[in-house]
Amino acid sequence: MKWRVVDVEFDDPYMNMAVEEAIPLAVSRGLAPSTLRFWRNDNTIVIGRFQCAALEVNFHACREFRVSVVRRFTGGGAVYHDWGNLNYALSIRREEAARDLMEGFKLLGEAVSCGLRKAFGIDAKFVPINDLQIGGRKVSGMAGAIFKNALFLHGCILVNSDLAILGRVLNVPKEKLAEKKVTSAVKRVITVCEAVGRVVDVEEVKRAIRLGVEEAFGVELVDGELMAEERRLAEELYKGKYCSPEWSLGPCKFCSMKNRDLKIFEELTFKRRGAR
Amino acid sequence: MKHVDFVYRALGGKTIRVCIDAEGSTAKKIVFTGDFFMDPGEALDELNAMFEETSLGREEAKRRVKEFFASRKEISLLGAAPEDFVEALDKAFQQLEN
Repeated sequence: MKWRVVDVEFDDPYMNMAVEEAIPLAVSRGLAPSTLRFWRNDNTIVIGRFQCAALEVNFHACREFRVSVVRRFTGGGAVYHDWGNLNYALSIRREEAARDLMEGFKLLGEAVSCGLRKAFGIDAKFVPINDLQIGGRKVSGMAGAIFKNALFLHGCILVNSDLAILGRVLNVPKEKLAEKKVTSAVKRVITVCEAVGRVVDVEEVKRAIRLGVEEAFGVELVDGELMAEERRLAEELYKGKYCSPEWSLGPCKFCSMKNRDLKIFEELTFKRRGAR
Repeated sequence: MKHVDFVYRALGGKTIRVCIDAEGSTAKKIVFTGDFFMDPGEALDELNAMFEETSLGREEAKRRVKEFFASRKEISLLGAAPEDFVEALDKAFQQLEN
């Protein structure tokens, strides 16, 4: 069985997220084959679908470090992206995939950790529900969503991210840190570079993930490109959903803190949109 | 208006945050957010819509959350359970009343 690989990224994090949703939509509609996508974002916080930006994000730090904020269409927690962070996303036709998210996380988590172990000799392992860890520290988190005829799973892996910025822009609840027995989000994570003990190129990590996915899912990955319909869907989602503060700031319509952060959000998104 | 942001760690490993705007111990707005997984995604918007403009005490609010999940069997959750939403809400009210 052949699956497509697309390596497509934009400077604009809102367009990246629009493409992220357009692909599984196309796969679910039978317009595109099962697909593995690689991509990166410039400095951006991506919050989970059910999270409130005002609670999870330090907007003043975002302004200082020029970090954009976008909400994704999948659940899970907030993550920090920069060029040292690689995103991998799998859109699989339902008949070729796991039955549910739990099983999907396990399959993809084991595939990626197996690829990392083989490529770099590091002890990466999948830890339920949706983490990949090395030596008890998180190197990658996954999220996902179920479409009518497709299962979508994605994750981001810290290759060589700036953890100092991550620690400043994310508000991690102290209750969560206490449960993980750490005092800050930075102490809970590790990069591939730190684990391997040398500079690791993002391309090496892509090769490791490809290898892991091919073996775990028993497929052949073939390089491909986005289809016209996927680009059209992405443009539609970009304009109608991801550029809107109503979407990106979270589900609480009447949150008083939302107004406080709106100005900074618009400042940061305006610069991004201007760059396109 | 009093505001509470309560952070609840579910047994399934994920976080539920409950924000309440209240007058005394009566909730005027309740919003659930968090890092759990829910399918369909729109279900959380529907749950929150029930509490956008409201005037509810602790027990009635909890009853409505229970009823919501009981009547929507198609909702699947990962990392948290319907009971966690009820428990989180109960504890948020408790904080409000203290």
